[in-house]
Amino acid sequence: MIALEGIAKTYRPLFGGRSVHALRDLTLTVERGEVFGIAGPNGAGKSTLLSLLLGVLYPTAGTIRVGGHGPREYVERNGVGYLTELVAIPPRWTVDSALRRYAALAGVPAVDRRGRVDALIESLGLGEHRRKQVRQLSKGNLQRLGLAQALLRDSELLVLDEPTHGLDPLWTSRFRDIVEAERRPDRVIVIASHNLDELERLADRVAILHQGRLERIVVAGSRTTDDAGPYRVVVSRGADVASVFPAAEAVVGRPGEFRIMSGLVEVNRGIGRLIAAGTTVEAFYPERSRLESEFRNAVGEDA
Amino acid sequence: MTSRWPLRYAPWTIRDFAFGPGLIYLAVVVFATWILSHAGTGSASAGEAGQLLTVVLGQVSMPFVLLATGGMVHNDLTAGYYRSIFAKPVSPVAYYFQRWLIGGLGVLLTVLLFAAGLALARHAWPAVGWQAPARVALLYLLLGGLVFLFSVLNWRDWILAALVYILEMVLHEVAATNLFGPLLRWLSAALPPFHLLSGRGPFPAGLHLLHVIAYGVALIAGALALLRWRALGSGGRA
Repeated sequence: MIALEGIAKTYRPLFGGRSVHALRDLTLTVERGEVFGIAGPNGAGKSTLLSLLLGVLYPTAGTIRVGGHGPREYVERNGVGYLTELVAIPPRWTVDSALRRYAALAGVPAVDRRGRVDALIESLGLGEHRRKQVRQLSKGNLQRLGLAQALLRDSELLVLDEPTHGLDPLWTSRFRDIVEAERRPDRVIVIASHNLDELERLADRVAILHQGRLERIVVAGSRTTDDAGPYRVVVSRGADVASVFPAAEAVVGRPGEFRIMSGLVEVNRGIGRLIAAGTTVEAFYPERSRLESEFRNAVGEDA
Repeated sequence: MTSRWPLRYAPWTIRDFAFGPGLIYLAVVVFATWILSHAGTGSASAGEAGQLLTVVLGQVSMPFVLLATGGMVHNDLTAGYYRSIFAKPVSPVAYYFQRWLIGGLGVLLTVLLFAAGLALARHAWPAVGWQAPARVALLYLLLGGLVFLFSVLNWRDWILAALVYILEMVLHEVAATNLFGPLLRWLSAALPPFHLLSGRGPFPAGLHLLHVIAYGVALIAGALALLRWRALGSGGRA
């Protein structure tokens, strides 16, 4: 569905000054059915990459194909569900009229527009705000309006840039449900986010960008036995953890919780011995997700 | 596949025009008609009313055109509205050309409304021939085309176009005195021929008319070609 080969993007000031290499030699493919994450620190090139995918920027070098076409051609033919990081909608439009306008532009048939808009207003909790002007909306409501306009058309490509930016925890969780519901074998969902936890939960693979380079692609959610930790173990009070894990550090302010720097196999064996000795293990989890570990390894101190 | 020509969005563009520049035009037309209906001795010949219309339109048609076209592309690019709009199956070329056309129709409709109001007020029906609306249509092509081009270039479109308009008018007058060298005359000739549409002169005919039309069409074609060629964004987020 998406194929990038040797993509570079350099911003050159018109009148001298220093050029900025936003992306360098980036090659990757994304298949239909995938939820593909893009992670990276600020300035890593995430938004530039999305702009290239949408054809609103052109690469300095390399080729991009989306559904077999150049990006601009693809978007003009098929449309893309796109949520921008900074949702920009004319401030005097009302929520209702903004969605009806975008529905017309998206090519939703006239007879279906009212129903489609109403359904999205309902599912994104915008009912009480539908007569409000965009400038009267809070950040979270504006973000939900941005998401609603992205979902108006049944697009094969959904591009979501920092989708939970400004959403409260409830709507962040609701957003995950929406993405899961939008997942389809013939659709690609691309999510760029700073929120690694969100990507870990939603994405199948995550590309980690750093200083414009593709550092690695991580299969999200995967765990292997060579994970080196650290891990957290929470045990019942009074358990003799030190006898099993001599290097374990008690976590300050959290009674019964210990930080263990060992491999997964060793930690499992140790937990087995604790249980055999009558200790109740209340919780056991990696301190960092695999994605977070990979991210830290890729970007180092910039993270 | 959805058509890239956003005819389906035209009702919204018309509505934006009607509640934006349209309301201002209406206020000007009503005010001007009221003033003219209370001036003079009541009835006038159709020719006199036509002259009156030409004089008034000579004053208001330039700001009307600037109001209809100013910021057309530039505002969407700088405010970032283009990102949501052009993620939809819409060609930017078709979208803005349609907007430009609707603006032109709105300006023309205003002129006809004004002519009708004047005719009623001065009891001189018909007050207007084809020349007054045609002159405004040509000004829309030329000046509106220049604003469109500057807007696609993401410059301060209507301000620059107004400056070019004034510069051309002044240079044409100055060049006609023969006090200055060929460079000035060449510069005057290279600028859009706004002086040919001045309300004081006759309606352009023959080569003059061709000059105005060809220049206007070239400006529009240039704006559309540039729109096709240029990247809409200027950065990852901008």
